[in-house]
Amino acid sequence: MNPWEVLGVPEGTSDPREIRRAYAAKVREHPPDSDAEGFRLVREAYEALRKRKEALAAFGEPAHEGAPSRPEEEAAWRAERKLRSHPDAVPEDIPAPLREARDDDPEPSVEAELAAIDGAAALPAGEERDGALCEALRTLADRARADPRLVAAWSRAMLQVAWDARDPSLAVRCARIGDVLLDLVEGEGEVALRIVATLRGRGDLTALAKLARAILETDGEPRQGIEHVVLPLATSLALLDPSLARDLADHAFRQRAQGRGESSEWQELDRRLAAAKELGPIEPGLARFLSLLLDGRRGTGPESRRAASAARRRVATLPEESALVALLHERAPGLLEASKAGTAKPWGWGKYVATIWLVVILARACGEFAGERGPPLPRDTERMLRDMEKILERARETEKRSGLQPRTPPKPPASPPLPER
Amino acid sequence: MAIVGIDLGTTNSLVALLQDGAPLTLANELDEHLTPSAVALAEDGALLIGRAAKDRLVTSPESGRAFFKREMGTEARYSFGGRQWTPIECSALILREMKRIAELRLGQAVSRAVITVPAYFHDPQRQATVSAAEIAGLRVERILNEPTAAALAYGYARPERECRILVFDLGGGTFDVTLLEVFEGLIEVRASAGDSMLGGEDYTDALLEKVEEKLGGRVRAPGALRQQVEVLKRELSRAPSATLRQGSGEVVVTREEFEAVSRPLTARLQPIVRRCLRDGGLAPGDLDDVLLVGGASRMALVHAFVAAELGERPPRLVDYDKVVAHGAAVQAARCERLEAVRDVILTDVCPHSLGVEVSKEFAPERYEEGYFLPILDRNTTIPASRVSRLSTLHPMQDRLALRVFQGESRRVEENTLLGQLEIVGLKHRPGQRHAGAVDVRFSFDASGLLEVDVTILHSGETRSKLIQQRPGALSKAEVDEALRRLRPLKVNARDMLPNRARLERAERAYRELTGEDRERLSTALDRFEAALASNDAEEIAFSAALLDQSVGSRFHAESERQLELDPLP
Repeated sequence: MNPWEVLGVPEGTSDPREIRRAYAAKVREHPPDSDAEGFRLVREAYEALRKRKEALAAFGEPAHEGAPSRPEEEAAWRAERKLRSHPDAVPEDIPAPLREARDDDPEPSVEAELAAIDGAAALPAGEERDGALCEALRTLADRARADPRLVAAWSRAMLQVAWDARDPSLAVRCARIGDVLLDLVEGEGEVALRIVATLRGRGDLTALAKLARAILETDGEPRQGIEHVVLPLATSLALLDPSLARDLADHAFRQRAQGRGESSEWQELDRRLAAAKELGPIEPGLARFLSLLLDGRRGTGPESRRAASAARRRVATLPEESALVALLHERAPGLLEASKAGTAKPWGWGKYVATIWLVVILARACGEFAGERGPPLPRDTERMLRDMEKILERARETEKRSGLQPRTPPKPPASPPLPER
Repeated sequence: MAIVGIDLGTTNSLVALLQDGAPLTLANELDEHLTPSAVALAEDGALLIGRAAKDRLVTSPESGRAFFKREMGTEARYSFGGRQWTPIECSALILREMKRIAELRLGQAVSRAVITVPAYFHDPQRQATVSAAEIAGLRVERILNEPTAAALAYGYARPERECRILVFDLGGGTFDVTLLEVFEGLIEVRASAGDSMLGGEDYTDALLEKVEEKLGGRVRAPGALRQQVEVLKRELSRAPSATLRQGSGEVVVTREEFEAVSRPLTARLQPIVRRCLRDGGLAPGDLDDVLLVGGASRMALVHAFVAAELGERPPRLVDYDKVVAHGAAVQAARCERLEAVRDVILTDVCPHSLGVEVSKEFAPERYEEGYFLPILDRNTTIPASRVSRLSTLHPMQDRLALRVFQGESRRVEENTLLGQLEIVGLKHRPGQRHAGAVDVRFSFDASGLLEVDVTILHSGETRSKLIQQRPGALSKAEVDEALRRLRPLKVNARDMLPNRARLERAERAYRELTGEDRERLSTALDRFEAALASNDAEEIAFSAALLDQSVGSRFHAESERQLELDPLP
């Protein structure tokens, strides 16, 4: 049964209201409390249709109301099925298939699209202008996807609108993952390079990871020199997801004639991968914090310098990280006192110790990486670190006294399984 | 036989049920709907529960225990009254008190209940709650998440509205955020997040530190100080500054100072709210309503935080203390299949990810074990079922130990172990397909039962294991043993409760007063005790009134309650 049949709506329906109404009616027939199996089927159908809408949107097609043509629906549904049986796949990142341009195609004209872009750019700055500009750029990108000869025109437009007109965030917003891949496979990679730099500057590791997975999954043969784009991407992701970073680096290596390990980017990547191994799992928030710090310390070309200074600014304003740092700052003296007096609350310890431990080793790693390059850590950080070390020491003593053991890794199981690739 | 809904809170507990289609909380003999979650022993060895215990703890903190909910599911032990107590036993006493109140008001035996817990409670904490109920003589029909209960009460009152709501539940000891969607009469939980170690008591602690610092060494009655700070905290939500008197000393604390000392706590709220919205796929602008639940949500600084984080829309002010109990009552009615709730359909999510331990290959032939592979992601609508394909490390491997975990960390040791499954017969003969591969299926049902099925692909053999999240972890013998331990400490005669509370309160006041006031109180207290001994009802009533008068309004437990029930700012 396909999900439309399960919910009892006409096949191909994508109107969210209709789907939701049908879902609510079916849930009444199969309430979760008494009919678990029936509810599960209804729920899965409902989620499949909801996800399908998102997947269609990511393809670049609008998720239209009403019923589009059948084969398209079938493909999306199959993709959906496939994805659900492979939890590693990222549903919204399937690049649109590229069509080979035939030699006998007449030279296409993009004047209308370029005019639309110029028109949008001339609007007074504001949300309306951004929306119109995005739409026009995406229209051109859609044409370029169908006909790679237009990629150059599209990437010129992107560069002009976004970077020459000082608004890289607009470009990042307009570009879909499929567009970035298009640039890597068919274009010069310039747009991709700058999008990666902007995302790094923002510390948006989630978007970078999505992009990384899409690059690994794309079927098109990436061009030579892709490592200029992929390596920085891998470097930024090294702490958050080392295995993904490693895969990416291998991917870049395949595209490169010379051996790896010469450029400073390679060395940086290797250092971070080694650190990631040393440190073990890192909380995503902290991984982002540290990646931002490290990325901010590197900085060569004008683009990465700009990204670096943005990164430094961001570190101070990141909500979660600054909250964490503020928390540690404010708690440090109190905890220190409390631990001296031996009155710290029992339920507070585990958590604080874990957090403090993370920050100490992260910051240590950070200091080691900075090495001779770059300025030393801010004085505040140094002080904080010293405090943390003291607290950590105290905590260890307290744990010993109270008979609690510091966490040690459990004995390995008889033979742990491995996820199948 | 009626099923009741119980809100077993960190600070206070309530019992409620649906009456004539409307949820109703039940009051004890003191006419209080909120029973403090405190247990203590009086000097004569009588067991005190609720208000009396809370007052007793003020005068002698070592005579009992409060806030034990925070240590549910741990190995914590408290010693008072010459023996060791577990958090489960303390909770059982509170639940028994709730059962008693319900029986008192309904005039019939009550043995089944719906009990609420913080959405972010881990499995051992939920199991501990069920065990406590068993000891109290209650069968748990369902463990309900507190914010879900709040939403249920909210959705039940307005079934026809289509809306997206965020429930912000800052209770005494726990913090939960839940995102809900109500449509077509369906109440759907979209995501939950929380911190089971963050609540109003932490704010009180922060303020207490500040007050102690300001008082210097001049603390005269350290036991009573916390209670005073509690009142100070409430006053600060209504006024820009408030004063606290200790003996001859006096300190003024301003709201800014309170905000400054509690900033680290408030900072912990933000990532949780954001994660919940992210998991539910909504932006603050998509919300139709923000429901503030839990006593600590009353604080002005929480209102300011919510306004800043979720937009300037005034948050919907609900009956902070009772709404969770009301939701539990609605759920209890659903368990009873009452006509009034026939149309209420609720779908919930699992708040934590569930998965297994795996090894990862970081370099060829180099495996690192101890990684967590989530199979059911957090915030999946339950009941749900998901499957993942795994394979053995070595081709000749015949057995594996599959360990099932709950949590969000990449490494298993940071997560909670739920159970283990031994699988044998993995070794395959050459030529067989799917060498060493297994399909691991997780099925999670609405009552919190996790079933793990493992299918060996090459042989088609299946192993399965039920990982019970209910019933509780206690065996029949263990329940009996716990009951036996609690028996000698039978609660005093029922009609004594108001008198007990009055005595504890008066003794608390005695320590505070001086001079003439103290003398007058002492006389009244003597007369009251004499009256109790004489068992003369008229004399008891008269001397009780006299005593109340002498205690004075300042030390009247009422003063605290009035603050609780005051109109909201």
